[in-house]
Amino acid sequence: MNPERDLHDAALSALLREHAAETPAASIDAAVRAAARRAIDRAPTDRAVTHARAQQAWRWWMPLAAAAVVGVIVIGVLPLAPSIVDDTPQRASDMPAESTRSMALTPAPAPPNAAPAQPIEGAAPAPAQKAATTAPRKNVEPPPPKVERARPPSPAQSQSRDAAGASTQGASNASPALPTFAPPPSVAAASPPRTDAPARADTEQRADAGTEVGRVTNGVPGPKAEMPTAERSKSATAASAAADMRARSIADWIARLRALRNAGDADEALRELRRYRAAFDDADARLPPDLAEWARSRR
Amino acid sequence: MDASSDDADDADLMLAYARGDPTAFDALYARHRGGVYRYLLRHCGNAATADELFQDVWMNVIRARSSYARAAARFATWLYTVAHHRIVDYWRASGQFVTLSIDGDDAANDAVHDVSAPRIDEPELRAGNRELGERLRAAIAALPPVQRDAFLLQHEGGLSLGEIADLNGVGVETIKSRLRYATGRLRASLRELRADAAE
Repeated sequence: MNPERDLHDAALSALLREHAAETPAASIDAAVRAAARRAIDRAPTDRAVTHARAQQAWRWWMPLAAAAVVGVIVIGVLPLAPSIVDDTPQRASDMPAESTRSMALTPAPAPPNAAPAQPIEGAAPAPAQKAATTAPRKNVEPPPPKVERARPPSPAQSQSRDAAGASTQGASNASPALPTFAPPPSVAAASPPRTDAPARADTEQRADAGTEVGRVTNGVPGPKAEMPTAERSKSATAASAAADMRARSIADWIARLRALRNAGDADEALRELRRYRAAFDDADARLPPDLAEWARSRR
Repeated sequence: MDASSDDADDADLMLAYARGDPTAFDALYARHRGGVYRYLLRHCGNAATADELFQDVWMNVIRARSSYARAAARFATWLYTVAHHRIVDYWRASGQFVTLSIDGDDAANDAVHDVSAPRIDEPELRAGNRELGERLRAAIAALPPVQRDAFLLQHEGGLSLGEIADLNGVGVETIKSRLRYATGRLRASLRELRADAAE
């Protein structure tokens, strides 16, 4: 047995080739050749159409894709912008910055019981300061040259003075309803007495502004946060003193006056009495009989 | 004729045609038109159907010219693969589809192994050449489709056993078995023709 011969028989193959006379018709040959030539002739057109379609797709999709990329970048970068600004290094220097220096030239609003801002040599006083200094005053004592720094009140103190401020609001119609911010008694004792009513109204508006500034700077740091620490503490002291004057109730005044009188501190008691009279128009009428008699002798 | 140089020429011609040279296609077509036509004609047995299938095969070649790659396969293998797929589609459409991977010829192998080769140089066979041709075509048509396909791919397309096996998706041994059976059947047919002529 010969497997190779079984698989491929040369004689059989020769016989097949000998009888392999069948061929396609001439018409079929012509049709196939013509189709082949047509396909070649049509190819450039096909390529041009394909190229045009590709260009059209490019023309339509690329601007859209570019716009989408820009949008994604903007949406992604914008939330990061504040953090980028915050990353700028902070300068640590004893000298105030230019912006701080210019702020220092502009005097801060003077609270009613705080010392007037010390004018800087060569700097013209602000119009508001001029008005305050030229306003008519009666029973005005020269304010003390320095104001003791205010300490921030404890939460318990703030709560008690909130309640006191609420009662004071009913008694004094001239004082607007403001959040109370009362310093400890030592600060109140160091505060200068109030002047007359018009000046008080003016200074109260300034104190309001000062209180606002103090409240804001205690929270999120704003532009005023760049003020020097001394300026900030001065404003806070003045604001807290003004608030204390308004927030103190009649009972507080009476209790303090009585304590000073009983302690024999005549000078301090007199100063406190003047402040009390400056704070209320009908101050003497509200005093109890024992203090009213004492106050009449202290005119 | 050197087969390898022919293959190289076929591939070059096909690539030249894909680049836009119509004369390359003419040369390629002239070289393979007869084999492809007979492969289809022997399968379907009808000249009109063979003409239709033949045109379909060459149209597929023309359409697929840009996808032809020299490294993929020999051009002849690629061409007869296209033709094979077209004839399988024809079988499916005409309800004559047979599962090509199933062989029913193993039992017949032993019977055909001892069939001797025909002696075509004998005078009586040469005299009855016309009748021999008709008998041979009838014997091929009588083969089972899978064996006929393997036989025609080997003799008309010149494909190797491995190429035929790959094309059909079966093993080489299966193709050997199919070819052995087909060859034995054809030899038997020729021996019968010789015996008839001797009487």
